[in-house]
Amino acid sequence: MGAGDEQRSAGGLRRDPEAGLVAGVLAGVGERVGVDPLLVRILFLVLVVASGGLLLVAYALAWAILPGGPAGEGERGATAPPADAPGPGRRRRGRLALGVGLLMLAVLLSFRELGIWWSDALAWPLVLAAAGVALLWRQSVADGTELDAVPTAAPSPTAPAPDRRRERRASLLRLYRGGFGVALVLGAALLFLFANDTLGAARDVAVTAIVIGVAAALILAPFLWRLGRKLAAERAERIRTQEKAELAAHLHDSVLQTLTLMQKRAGEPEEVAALARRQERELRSWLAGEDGEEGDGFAGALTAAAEQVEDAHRTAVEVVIVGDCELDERGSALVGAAREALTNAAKFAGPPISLYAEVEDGRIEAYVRDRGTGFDPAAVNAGRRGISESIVGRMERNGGSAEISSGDHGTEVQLRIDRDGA
Amino acid sequence: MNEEEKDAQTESAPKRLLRSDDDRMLAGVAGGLADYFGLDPIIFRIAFGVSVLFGGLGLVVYLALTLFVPLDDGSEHPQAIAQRSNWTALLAIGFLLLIAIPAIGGGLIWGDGPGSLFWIAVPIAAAVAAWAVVRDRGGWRGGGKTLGAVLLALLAATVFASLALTAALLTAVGEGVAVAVGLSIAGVLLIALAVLGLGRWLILPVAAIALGASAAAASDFDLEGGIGERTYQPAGFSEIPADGYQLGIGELVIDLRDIEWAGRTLELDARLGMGEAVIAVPERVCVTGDAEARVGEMAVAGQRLEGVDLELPDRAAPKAGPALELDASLDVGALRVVNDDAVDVLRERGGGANSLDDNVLRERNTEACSR
Amino acid sequence: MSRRSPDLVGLAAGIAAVALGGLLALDRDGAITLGAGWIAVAACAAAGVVLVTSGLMDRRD
Repeated sequence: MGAGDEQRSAGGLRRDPEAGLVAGVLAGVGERVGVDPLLVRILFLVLVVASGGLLLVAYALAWAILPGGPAGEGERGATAPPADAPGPGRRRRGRLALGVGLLMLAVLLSFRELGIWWSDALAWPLVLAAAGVALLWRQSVADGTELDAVPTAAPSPTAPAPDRRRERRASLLRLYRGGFGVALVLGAALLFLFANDTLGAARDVAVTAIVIGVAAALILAPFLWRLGRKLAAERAERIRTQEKAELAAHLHDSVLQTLTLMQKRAGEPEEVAALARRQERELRSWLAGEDGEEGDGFAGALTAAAEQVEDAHRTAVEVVIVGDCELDERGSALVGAAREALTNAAKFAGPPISLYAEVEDGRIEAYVRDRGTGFDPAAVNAGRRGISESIVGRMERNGGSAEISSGDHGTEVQLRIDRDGA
Repeated sequence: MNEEEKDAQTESAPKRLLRSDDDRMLAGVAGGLADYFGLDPIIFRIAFGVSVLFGGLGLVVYLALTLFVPLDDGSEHPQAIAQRSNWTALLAIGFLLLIAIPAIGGGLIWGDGPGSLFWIAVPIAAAVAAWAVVRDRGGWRGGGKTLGAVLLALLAATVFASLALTAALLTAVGEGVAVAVGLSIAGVLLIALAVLGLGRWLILPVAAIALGASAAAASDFDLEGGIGERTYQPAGFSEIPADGYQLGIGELVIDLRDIEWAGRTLELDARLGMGEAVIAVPERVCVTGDAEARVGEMAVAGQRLEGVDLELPDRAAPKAGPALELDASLDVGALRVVNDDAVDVLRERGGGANSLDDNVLRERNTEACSR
Repeated sequence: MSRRSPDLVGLAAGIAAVALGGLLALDRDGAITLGAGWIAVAACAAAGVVLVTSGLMDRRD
């Protein structure tokens, strides 16, 4: 969702799904009013019986309308979005909503049977109207969050066709659902009038109202259209300004600082290179849109290890990781072994050093390569811990393997580990 | 085939009628015909569409062509669906006969009502069409997917509706216990399937049965008492059964004009679940009593009502003179009470009764009751 | 989809069907008398339970 996009809640009223029994409506009310939710619940039950079950309709409406989550979070009414998530999630939520609606209908009908009922003429229009309002509200929420979301990148020209089709289907769906909601509310109004035998008179009033409405619309149409265009332009402008400010802030915090530091340390070429390297990494990842949300999985750990070696030894490591997975014990072992291999490469070989890792379904493979002068692994004193223990030994202890081949052209360390389970 | 091959073919062999694969909306029949005759396919499409509305013979022709004309899929000797094996040929012919007979006989759409074969043929036709379309389009991929999905959805809806209606009807005619027990057994089956992880496809049929049975039980339509056409023409008061005449579904005709009324009052109970009921009395008999209908129309001695929950006001029987004190009730359909000596209700039934002038009947009844 | 895991939605639907069928049988037989209202309650409740189960269960997959 867009950063800081809070859906305006009805006067600060929110649901609290965690503290609540069903949907947290009563808990939210209690929080807002400053009353113990238990008292609210008791009062609610009494009122439900007194109103012949109609208060349940209000509850359901509140469920659909009020945003969930404690104050400070955004969005989320009912059995929640992300509002534009298509596919099975939406159908599931639709089924859930329909089921809840039916259960509520059953409760209402029970009250009716038991005689605790106002009147059909009053209750059913209310139910229909509530359903229509809920539907329309959800629809406008979905539209609102879609429109307010800050566009992150220009739509790529390589994927216009399927996007357009999806857009068309989405807008059709929107129309359909909005139309359904409107129909429900109108139906409720008509039903109420019919039940109270005022339908005939209402028809005359309606004709007059429609005529006046059409006239007003025609008069105001150009003004409204221009207003809409202006609002859209303003929003676009606002978005641009926001983006510019973000960019400026980021550049100021990172790149400017680094450049200043580099000027100060101009006499220490290694330090300058390290600073430049670090800034390059950070800028690259920012441009790629990762926003500092580094994964806490295997890829993140491996990348962090490479960065540590870079910083510690003032060198540059080229990192390519394909795939990702959760970081478990074996993954950690591989990361540790890779760190050792990289340290060796940094100490004895120097740049260019490359780290390539591939995560597949059954296993992880990593290669550390450098173009140093090479060494003879067998000739290394077996007593020194260095290679044999921290690399080979570590891998083998964790169900993996390590192969080191070294020659005049450089050294390559192959690390393999099997992942267990799915 | 590209243009050259097409031209070569037309030169060497007589042009064959094939269903077109390039120009097809459903099965390519219109496109194929257009190719063969050298006309615009839209002509044939309109023709088929219109013919469906006017008796539906066009539908039969379309299906026949789909089954017996091969699809032009580029091969040298394309085969028609019915040609694939002996069985398919037999099935195709049989199916066509099945739906062609009512089509030629009485007009498909406005046929003989729910009993006509049309209502069996349409779902079958939809299924065959869906299968043919999906198969010709190479399975579920591509455009066939949408069309096949639509047709299959239609088929599923028809099956669902049929199941629900059957359950409702069975419940209404008095077999509610059996239907409900059947529902429970289906539920047990569903549980078994669910526990074994064998799928939940049974939910839809079960839902249909549940819906039909609940609706019928809730609405409490009583269609018990048999199904069919019953005609009663009692010759005297003693022939009339004590608890009157009942019928569950169908046509109930009671002709009381052979009775020697003298000055007596006849108390008659008549009850029809669903259908049409006609009661004929002589002109000098005063028609009073109570008539109720849940859904439909009533025309009792010229007084006409239509709609839901109909009830005709209870008029007291006159002190003297022949009278019919009626207690009639109807759940769905039409109830007609005619005080006319001439109309032939036995042959014309409801039609004849309906053709009389309401005003005349009302005046007659007022006169008969004021004696 | 594992064939061995019990399908909760189907289970709920089956139980609802058995319950509804039982109620209807008793009503039609005359042992108990539900009115149109209570039958409607039962039908809505049955359908609602199944749909809610479907909406909840499938989400956890």
